[in-house]
Parts: sequence; structure tokens; C-alpha cells
Amino acid sequence: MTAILAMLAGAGIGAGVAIVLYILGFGIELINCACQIITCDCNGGDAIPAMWEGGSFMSVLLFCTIAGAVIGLIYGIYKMKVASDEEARRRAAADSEEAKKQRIKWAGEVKQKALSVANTCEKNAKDYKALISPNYKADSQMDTIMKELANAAELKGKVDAMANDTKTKGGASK
Amino acid sequence: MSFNTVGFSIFGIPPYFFCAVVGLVAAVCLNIILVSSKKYCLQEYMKVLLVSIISMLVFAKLFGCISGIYRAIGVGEPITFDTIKNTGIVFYGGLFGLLVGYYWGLNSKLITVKDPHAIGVLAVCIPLFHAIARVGCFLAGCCHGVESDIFSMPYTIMDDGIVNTANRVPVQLIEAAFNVGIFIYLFVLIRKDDWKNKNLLLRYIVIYSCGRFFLEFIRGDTVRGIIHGISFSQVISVIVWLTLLTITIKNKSKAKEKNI
Repeated sequence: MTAILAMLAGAGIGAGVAIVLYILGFGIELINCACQIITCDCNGGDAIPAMWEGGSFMSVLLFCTIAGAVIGLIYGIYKMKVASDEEARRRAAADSEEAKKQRIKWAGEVKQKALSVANTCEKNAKDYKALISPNYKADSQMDTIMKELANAAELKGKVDAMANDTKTKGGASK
Repeated sequence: MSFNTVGFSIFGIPPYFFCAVVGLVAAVCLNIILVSSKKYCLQEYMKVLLVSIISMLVFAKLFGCISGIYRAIGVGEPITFDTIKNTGIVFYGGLFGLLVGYYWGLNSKLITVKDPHAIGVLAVCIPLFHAIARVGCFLAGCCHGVESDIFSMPYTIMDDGIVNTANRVPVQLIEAAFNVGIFIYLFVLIRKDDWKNKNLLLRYIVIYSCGRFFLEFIRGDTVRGIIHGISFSQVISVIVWLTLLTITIKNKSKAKEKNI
């Protein structure tokens, strides 16, 4: 449609150009006549050019119209092509935008799932009661060990004393 | 092979006008295709082209008027209003007008994204138009070659209302072929990825002005004027060379200053 409209516009412009050329030619002829009157050159031979003879005006008009139409048609075709390319580019960009949105959506879903798993894990970790306390209670254990060691040392001392008594007194005890 | 230009027309249309319009259509269509393929805004550049075509017509006539003065000096006639009025159009004038109009357009508000390299696209289209238009010259009998016995053909023209047949060098066809060659060369360059570094307009102007300078020696018509054997177009060619040389030297000295 654009090409046809451009062709018609071109034809119109071509016809207009042909008419303007004739008007200009006629205007120049008028100037020539004026010059001939001013300079008293009544025998000036260029008053009626060949362009006014016979059907030359119609030929030139038709030719200019066709020429304008051809230019208009080519212009229209390429204008359509440019518009079509622009539309294709816009569509590709829109498709690209759509794909980007889809990727963002998928990424969001994956993130949500990961978050959900993380929450579950955290919750389970809180609820989990260990069979053995993971916390090392150093002070109380150390106290117990020290006490046990102290008891052991005391017992050892008693045993040593009893052994000495036995050695020195021949086994009799007080 | 001979050719009679007297009364010759194509579908009732004067042959020069016919070929000029065909050339214009071909060049404009090529411009549309190239502008579109180089990702420039088609609508904006068509407006610029329209402005530059109007400028081309004005300058072509303006240079035609100047050539009238040049001719009058050459033949020793007094310069009168008729000297300026009774002149044709000059290609160099049209070329400068086109470039002036295009440069103005490229730097005007008509273009939103400005790119000085875009004029390279136009440079490719000019020789295409010119080649076809020169065929029109041949068919119309204008801008004819010198009379010669070698590399010539019987050619009939209307000269000051008198039918004249002579063996003439078909200089218009030679120039058309020369323009086709330039067009092919520039077209090959513009298809390359680094076409913006090729300075297509400069290449075109240099090649064309050199060729035109030498072709003028085998051009036989004196309508654009000749002074001491040097035609109006040869003078313009020399001015073009001097201008380009000056610009090149200035640019090089600027580049040296920057490097220092």
C-alpha cells in the first residue's frame, strides 16, 4: 500500500515538475519577448521553441509522470522494506525481552525453592536433639577428672604408707 | 556508422531531456537503495537530495552564464545581457550546486543523525546520471567532438540553424564510457565495509576532473568558450585541482601540528 501511495505521489510530483518546467520555459520566453521589445530586436528567433510544438507537452508530461512514478515506487518499496526491517528488529527485541522475563521468572522460582530448602534445613537443625551434646563442658568435666586424680593420689599415698609400715614393722600394725 | 541528430526525438521527447530524466531516475533510485542499505534515514536524505537537485539546477545555469562571459572574452565580443542570457547549462556548475546543496542539507535540521560520510553515497550516483545524460548529448548533437579522420564517425548536427555533417570524434560517448568506469569503480568501493575511509567524493572529483581536462581537447564545440585553446571546463578543472591541493596541504599541516 505504501509503495502504491508513494508511486502515485511520485507520479504527481513528476507531472508537477513537467508543468513547472513548461511554466518556467514560458516565463523565460516572456522575458525574451520583453528583452526583444526593450532592445527593439523584433527579429529575435527564439520566441517559439520546439518544446511548444505539436504534442511535445503531452509527451513530456507523460514521461515526467512515469519517471516520477518509478522514483516514487522505488522509494515506496524501500520505505516499506525499512519499516519491515524496523518491525522485525522491534519484534526480535521484544522476543528477547520476553525471554529475559522468562529467565528472570525461572531464576526467581529456583531461588524460592532454594530458600524453602534452606528454611527446612534450618528448622530441622533447630529441632534436632543430639545424643551426645555437641557442646564440650570443659569446667565440670575437668573438675571431675581432677577430683578423680586427687582421689587416686590420696589412695596411692595411703597404699604407700601401708606398704612402708608393713616393711618396717614386719607386718604388725598398730 | 553515421548518426543524424537533426529532428531526432525519442517518443516525441527531445533526446537530451529524455536521457537526462532517465539518468536522474536511475541515479535517484540508486541513491534510495544505497541510503537504505547504509542504514541512513531514507525520508530525511530524500529531502536533502531534493534540495540539492534544486541547487544543482540553479548552479548549472549560473555557471552557464559565467561560461557565456568566458566565451565572449574568448571571441572578443562585448559582454551584454544576451551574452549571459543566451547560454546553456554547465555540468561543473550542476556538480558544485549539488554538492553545496547536499552539504547544506547534511548540516541542516533536515538530518537528525549527521554523518559527513553520507556524501560518499551521492558521489557514486553522480557518474551514473552523467553517463546517461552524455548519451543524450550525443543523440541531441550538443557537446560534440572535433572533426577528425581517426576514431570518428559521420555525425550530422544543427549548428546555428545550418545542418552540418562531418566526421567527428564521438566525445560524448567516450565521456559516457569514462563515467561508467568511474561509477563501477566507486560502486565497488562503496560495497566494502570500510567505504567511509575511502573518501569517495574526493576520488570522484579528482578522477573526473583529470579525465574531463583531457577530453576537452577532443571536444569540438566552442559554445562554452575557449581562450588561448583552453576551454571553460579546463579552467574549472585546474581550479578544482588547486583547491583540492590547498585543502590537502592544509589538512596535512594541521595533522603535523597535532602530532607535534
